[in-house]
Amino acid sequence: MQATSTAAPDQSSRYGGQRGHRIVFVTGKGGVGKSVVAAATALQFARRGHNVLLAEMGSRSFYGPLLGLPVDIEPVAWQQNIGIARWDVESTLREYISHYLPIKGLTDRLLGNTMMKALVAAAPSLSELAMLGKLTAPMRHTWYKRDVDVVVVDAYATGQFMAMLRAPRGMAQTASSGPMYKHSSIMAKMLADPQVCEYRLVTLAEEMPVTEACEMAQQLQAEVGISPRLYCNRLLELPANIPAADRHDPAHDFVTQMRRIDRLQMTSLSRLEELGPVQRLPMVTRLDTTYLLEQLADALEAGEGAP
Amino acid sequence: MKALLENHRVIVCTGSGGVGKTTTSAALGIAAAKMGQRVLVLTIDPARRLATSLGIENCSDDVRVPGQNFAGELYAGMIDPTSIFVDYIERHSQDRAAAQRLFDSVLYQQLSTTLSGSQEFTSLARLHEAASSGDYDLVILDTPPAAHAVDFLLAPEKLNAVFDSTIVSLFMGRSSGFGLAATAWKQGMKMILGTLTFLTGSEFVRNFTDFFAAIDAIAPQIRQTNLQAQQLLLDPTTAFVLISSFDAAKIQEGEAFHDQLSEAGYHLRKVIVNRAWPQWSQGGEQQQAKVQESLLAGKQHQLAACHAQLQAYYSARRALHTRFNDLIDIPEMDGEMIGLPALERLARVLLAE
Repeated sequence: MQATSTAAPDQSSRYGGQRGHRIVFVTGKGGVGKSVVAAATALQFARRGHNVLLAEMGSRSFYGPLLGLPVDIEPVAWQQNIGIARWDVESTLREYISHYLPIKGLTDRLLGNTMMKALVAAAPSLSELAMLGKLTAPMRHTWYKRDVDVVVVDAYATGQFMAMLRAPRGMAQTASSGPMYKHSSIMAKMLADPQVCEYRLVTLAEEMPVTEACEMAQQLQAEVGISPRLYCNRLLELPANIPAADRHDPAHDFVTQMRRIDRLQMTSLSRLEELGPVQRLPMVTRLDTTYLLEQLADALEAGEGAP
Repeated sequence: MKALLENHRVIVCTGSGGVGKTTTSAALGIAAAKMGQRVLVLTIDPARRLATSLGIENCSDDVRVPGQNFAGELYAGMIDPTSIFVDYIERHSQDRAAAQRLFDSVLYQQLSTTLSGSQEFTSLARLHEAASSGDYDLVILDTPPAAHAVDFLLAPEKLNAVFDSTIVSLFMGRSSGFGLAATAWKQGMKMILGTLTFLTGSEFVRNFTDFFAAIDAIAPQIRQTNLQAQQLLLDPTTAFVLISSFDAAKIQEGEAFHDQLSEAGYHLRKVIVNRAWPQWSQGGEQQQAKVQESLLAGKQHQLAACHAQLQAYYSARRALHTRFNDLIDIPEMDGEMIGLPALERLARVLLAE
């Protein structure tokens, strides 16, 4: 596979840590295939010769059952060059706070589950910051090593994702001093730096998902000043101008449905294209997970070639 | 299905995102109304067109769904977590000043919208109120969207953690007991607050303690409501329905949730696997062969290939293994389910079962 390095080598060193470390956020409305597209994105980068970490956010693993792997907080190898990890808010926040606690031995007792749950629940921005902090740590600190150059994040769905992106700016406003203020200000800059962060927004060719994607693209643009790349998932490849079938034709129901899907796909795509170029991902009609992910990675790579 | 609707006072529809939960909840409501019941469907964040067809757009009160002609009556209500939470706090605070202190705290503003568990809490508070009002024979709750079905059950625990009396006391600097252990705890708390102050600056921590001081007054009420809601959920007249879509990941998750529900003592009465087959694919193999024939006769080669591929795909999916034996074929409606007639069609499918 040809190595087309998308990371500008010297850019991220300005944040004080590892160079050429990139973050690719994959988000979208629930049920649009966001996690599957994130996994295919990890494959896409690995094929180009990158070392990839596929990180899922949340308390339960999607990839574990899907790929038959024991996915947990420490990365587990999936393929050559790809590790998968699951980050949950409680342990990430615990990790963050305990790093700054004066007596490390007390960490476990003090930051027990109830306490962490209370902290996470009462100050959601704290946990979102810890999450972003962990994500961006290698680019900010020389001591935090992560042996990858691309992190693909199977991020939260729309609303919660925006809340996470807003957290650093919010914190920089509430906290007026201390490391958190410093970190938040740097993280806000990193999230808005196209050399560091890329945003991929997945949607389906259906009315509600398209509406939500349009809203989110605007919010992203307003929040971080970066337009997301748009991916329209599960598209059927249909011939142009399907003629209507006669009511008594046995193919009537099928043809009618395909004509409807065709119209829906066209209107959805043209609505999305008003926001920018849209990458088209096929509906994969086989149940085999490996095949599905490979097909999507192919489609992602092919779409990249297009202007 | 009839027995389910007849024998319960509350039905809680659970399932992960994107499985047609809201649509199915609404259809269950229609089915119950057809059977002559006074039924309320409570939903959170419905698709706009579904909200329009239920008549609950921009409306937080229960409304009689317009354009119905059932033996019973169908009502619908939208759960707006923010306004319910405000209303709840106002009703349960000792005085206006106490409520205002809470509303003014910076953390509250995040809490009411992003607190994990607050949507679930308000849903449960609303459910409890509706179920105990005596206005309805049956209340159907469409649970908030979540990545995983089990999130709904974990929510009260998360919320309880915030309102846990020991945590509140700790953040307020009250000792939670005597002796060495309590002293160690207090020292520990000091260290955490110290670290937080170091990390975030003093203002943030002051917000934090302000917040805990403000919720101190209302915490017992919230715990009480949580408890009542839990009792309601465990009541034998409350049925859980698990809605799942028919793909490998969702089925796996559904089966795990099924076990968790049963273990925790909830009454899971029904699993609806929403297979959403397109209408055209319902016919058997002979029928599909005719479709092929007709497409090829019309020189629609590409379309014929597409048909063959999709047909093979849907057959393969039909053969997916699940230990749920209670599958319902729900025909795929026009894109998203819209309008009362489409929901009625779905209700008929559910009742025919």
